[in-house]
Amino acid sequence: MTMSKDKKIISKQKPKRGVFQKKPVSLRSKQQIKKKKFLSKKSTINNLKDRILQQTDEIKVRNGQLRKGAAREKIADLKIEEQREELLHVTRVGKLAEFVSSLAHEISQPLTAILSYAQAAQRMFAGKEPALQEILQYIINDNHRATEVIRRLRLLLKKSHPVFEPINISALVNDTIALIMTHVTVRNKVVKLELDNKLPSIQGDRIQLQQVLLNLISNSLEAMDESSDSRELLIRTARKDTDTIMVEVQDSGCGIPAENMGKLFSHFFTSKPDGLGMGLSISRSIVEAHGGSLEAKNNPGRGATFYFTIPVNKKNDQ
Amino acid sequence: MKSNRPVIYVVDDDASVCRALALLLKSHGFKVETFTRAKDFLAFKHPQAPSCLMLDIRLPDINGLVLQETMVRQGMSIPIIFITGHGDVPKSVKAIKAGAIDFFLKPFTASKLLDAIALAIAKSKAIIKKQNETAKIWRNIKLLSPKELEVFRLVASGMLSKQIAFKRGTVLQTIKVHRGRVMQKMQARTVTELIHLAQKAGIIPPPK
Repeated sequence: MTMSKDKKIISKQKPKRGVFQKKPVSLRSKQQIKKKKFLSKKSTINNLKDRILQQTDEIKVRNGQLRKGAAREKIADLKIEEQREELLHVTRVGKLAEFVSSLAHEISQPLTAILSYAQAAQRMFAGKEPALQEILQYIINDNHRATEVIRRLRLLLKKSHPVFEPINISALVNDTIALIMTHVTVRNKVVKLELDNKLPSIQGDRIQLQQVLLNLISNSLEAMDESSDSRELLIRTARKDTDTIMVEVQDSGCGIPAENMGKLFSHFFTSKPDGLGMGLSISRSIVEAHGGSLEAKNNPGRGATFYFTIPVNKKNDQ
Repeated sequence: MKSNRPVIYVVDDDASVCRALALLLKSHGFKVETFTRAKDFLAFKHPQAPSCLMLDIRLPDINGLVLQETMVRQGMSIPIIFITGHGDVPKSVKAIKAGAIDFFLKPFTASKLLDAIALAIAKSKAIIKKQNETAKIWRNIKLLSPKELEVFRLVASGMLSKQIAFKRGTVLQTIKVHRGRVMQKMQARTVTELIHLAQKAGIIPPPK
């Protein structure tokens, strides 16, 4: 728009100049004309200047827009990347059930074999070798425990409702330790218990909570595997406040690197070379299903502590 | 008598599962044959003995449920106990409806398995007894002359000798002779027994 206006002004001045030339003109008027010419030249220059300035401004604006556009594109790219990751995550979680189902099948095969071998041996040595009979019975018992874990895992992923009953968490910790004690001894570790035996009962699924405890304990044991001088595992139960009890599993192992802190409870996140990244994510969903929360922190000294809370069972609490 | 020892067939693609189950079942006095593929099981020459098949649902070559159908089509009447690592309810319902004895989710305990096997073997014995009876009846039927066979059919369908004679256009005496030979060859003492034999052989439809 500005350009065409300028052209119009210039074309209007030309015929005027022609008219002046035909007339006799005074010096004054000549001076005036000169001045006018000068003025008109000045105005043209000014015009041009304005135009250039305007265009420069425009270019600046355009440039800014372009820059903003580029920035916006970058943000969009990041968002797409984020969404892609989210989608991947959702897909992974969605496939979790499928994955666990095939995992359960794979594990049930050797479990079938182990159970049948043990029962065959039991039959063959019936009435003989009492020590052997006892060991065989242990194998069979642990086989049942593994079977139960698989069964629960399947049920958990089917989102079926757990069996809730009043539970004394300190007693449950004791039972769980008994299950894993051979593991602890073999690894040359020590378990210290600080259990509050006067805790009010909680409402929960025994096997699911035991699964959480087993998971936390075996993680801690693994964290302490690297060095032989970190040996002590401390399990503490306590009342957090009037409505909540707390369970802590504290190890003296390698601790949790800062960069892993945020991802610990994500599905399929693992820091172990042969880990599946399922234990903590499943444990957290179990605790949350019980109305509590599961968290982790590094100890002031060495090692890490995993702790979870569960609401007190109102019905049984005096 | 030795061949009458019950045989348990195990079809499972996991060799270790096969070996372990074989050990377990042998320790309980069963004869055991294991197969890791369904085709090998089908190709096996099955002895005439009470038997039971422990069948995995997921096999590399043929699906266990398809094998079940194949066996029915081929007239292999071996009671089946399904074993699976997948807790698949619809499949178990389908298997049981198609005549399976039981459906076990792996791993399973010996006591539960042995109960199911006892049931399967009992069923297998009953099937074999029935098959033997039918085979014996058919051996006798093959001894009958064409005329005797016709008289057998007509007597079994409830016709009196007089009616048969009228239908065949012969004298009563001839029919009575044929009938006597039929009774003798079929080893039947009464007409009722003869009718039962005809039913078992499938010559006349079974009673409703």
